[in-house]
Amino acid sequence: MNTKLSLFFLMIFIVSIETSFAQGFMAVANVSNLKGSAFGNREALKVGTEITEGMEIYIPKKMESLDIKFQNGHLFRLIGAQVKVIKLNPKNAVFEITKGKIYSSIKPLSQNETFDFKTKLASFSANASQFLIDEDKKQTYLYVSEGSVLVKAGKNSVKAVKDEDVLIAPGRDLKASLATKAMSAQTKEIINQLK
Amino acid sequence: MTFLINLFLIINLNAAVIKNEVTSVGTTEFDFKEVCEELGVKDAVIITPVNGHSIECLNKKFSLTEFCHKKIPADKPFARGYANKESRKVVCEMASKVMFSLSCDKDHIKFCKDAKIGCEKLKKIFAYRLDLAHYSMLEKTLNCYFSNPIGDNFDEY
Repeated sequence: MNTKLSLFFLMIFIVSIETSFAQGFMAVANVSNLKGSAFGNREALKVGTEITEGMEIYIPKKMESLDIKFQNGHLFRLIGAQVKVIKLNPKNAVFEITKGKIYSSIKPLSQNETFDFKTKLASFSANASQFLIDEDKKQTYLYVSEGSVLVKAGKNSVKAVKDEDVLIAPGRDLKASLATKAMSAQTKEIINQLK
Repeated sequence: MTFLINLFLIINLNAAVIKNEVTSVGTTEFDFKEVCEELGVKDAVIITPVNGHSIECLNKKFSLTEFCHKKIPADKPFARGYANKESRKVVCEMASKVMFSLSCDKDHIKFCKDAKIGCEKLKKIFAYRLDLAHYSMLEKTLNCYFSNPIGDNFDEY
């Protein structure tokens, strides 16, 4: 009797471990915090909703925000943003930003991992970095708070490092320069709020 | 009319400014007397800086940012004009970056209703020829971040 009972509990234990592992593996990213209202493929997003490939995330109001937590530790805060999830799997992520702000904290990536953002004017590759991308349709602004971000715009590219920013706009030279201390303090404060 | 609006904004802004960080790339200075003469008030006996950003020549008020905008060549990244009371000089400042934060209290809520429009208004006073690169509204604070204009290279300053 005791042996049968032990076997029964052992089976339940194995099944529960497998289920939680599968769940953890399947959901690459989830909504972790929401201030205001946000939509994914026109359906209201809530805390816990899984972010999936192909999803179009839309936050209608400029001051409202959505936080996203990735299973491998990356963190996002989208403010008044419109973003399409082009690719999303445990190794690769590509987000297309149409408008709004994204504060990001990206953990160190392994050799095969990539984490990219695209806007109308540029693309951004991040690794072990914290930064802000602000897309305003006519221009894109990048500020790097920690680490570095590689920016590509047309045939040109530049690597922006800690405390540097880049303003990408038609007719403007692509170059990184030192940002103000106030910009640094403000961005750090927001990124530190992410968890 | 635009000048009067700007002057009104300047007088009312000073108390609400939380932060005004300027990455200066150069300044050009003018004596108070020279400024008044340039503005058409000759032999002004009494010249008084009214607040940081305007001057009174014989009871006539003038915006220093407007004055500097006319005096500084168009290819330079002119940001703002202000009065230095100690040296009695008007300083026209060039900048590559300006970060400006304003408290959205009841007297300044008009700037905060739309962050972009609010920052565009502030640009005319604090970052005249710079581009608005980023703006945000965080906890009743309007933040405007201005960067050097499109296509310009300011390494020579």
